[in-house]
Amino acid sequence: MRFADLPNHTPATGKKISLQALKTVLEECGIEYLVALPESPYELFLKDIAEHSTIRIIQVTREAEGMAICAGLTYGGGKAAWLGSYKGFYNSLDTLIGTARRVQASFLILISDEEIPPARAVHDPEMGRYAVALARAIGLPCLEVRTTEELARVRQAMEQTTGGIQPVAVALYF
Amino acid sequence: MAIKRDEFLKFLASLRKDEIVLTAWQASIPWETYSPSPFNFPSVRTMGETSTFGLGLAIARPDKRIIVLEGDGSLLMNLGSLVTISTVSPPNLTQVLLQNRMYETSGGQMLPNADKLDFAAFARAAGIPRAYHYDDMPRCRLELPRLLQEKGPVFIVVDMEPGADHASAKEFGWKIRAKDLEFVKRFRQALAENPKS
Repeated sequence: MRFADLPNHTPATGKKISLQALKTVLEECGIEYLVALPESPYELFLKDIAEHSTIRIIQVTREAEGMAICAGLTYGGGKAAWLGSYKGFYNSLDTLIGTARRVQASFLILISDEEIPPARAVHDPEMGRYAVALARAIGLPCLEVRTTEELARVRQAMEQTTGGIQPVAVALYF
Repeated sequence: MAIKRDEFLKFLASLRKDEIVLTAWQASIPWETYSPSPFNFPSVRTMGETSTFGLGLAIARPDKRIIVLEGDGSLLMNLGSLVTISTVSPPNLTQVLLQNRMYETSGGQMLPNADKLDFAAFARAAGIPRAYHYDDMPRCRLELPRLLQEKGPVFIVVDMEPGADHASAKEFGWKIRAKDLEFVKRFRQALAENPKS
């Protein structure tokens, strides 16, 4: 993944979940491949992974591709994680069901999401309400992480993928 | 001019060594017939994602050649995957696009702008220089053996017409879909018995 310099750009820093701690957890879980599309809440995380980690980023053009790539990596014996936004997760549902679950590939799905107050949700039909509900509605295990301390749930999710027959999701509220 | 699918697949089968072959939809039933192998996998059902599944497999299993047989309707669903494949540039991935210009399983509806689409040009524009287009079998017979040895990613478009091997959605259902768990088990076992060297 390459990065362009943007003058006057201030990246998001992950106020609730430490991006550095997330990287450490993924490395400790033995993740070898991070299949991702960029998104603002984890911009610095991707840069850090690209520049200072053994985890290989595989950049996709559309999040659904990432689900199939993760399934293929898993079949080949690789340890893979999908990383995308809640909208990317919506986009990926067909591939998640028709490919990853159909072929029983188990890998980690990291969904960047945002919890918003009900009053704001009225004006925003997409954000913060559906990813976890959708995951659970299709029978996908889905854990939620709201603080750095809760990143242990990523480890739990990774453990569930071992010998699993479907991916395990974690919603990250950065 | 177009090539009969069964003629092409039989020829490809005659060239096969120990490659993994991932198939989608109409290619699946004839391929299982012409080249039965535990290294066949016909169970990726999302249109356009057989090649991306193959990309993941190619990355994780650099010791194996991966051949993907996918239709043009499928690739149209996921054209961006050509850019992803080009970026990763796996040397062991060969993508064969069976271009019939239609959605065959659902009854032969033509693809939008079907007669003007140039998939080899799409692939080249996405950054895959080794992109080839065949519309006659003699040239295909001459060049395909070499292309299967070529460093990937290789993208081969074969202008194709359905033959007697056309399968309805119902036939696909009982010959492939109903056996998905069997294919999953067979393929996983084959991979496990042939670990990465």
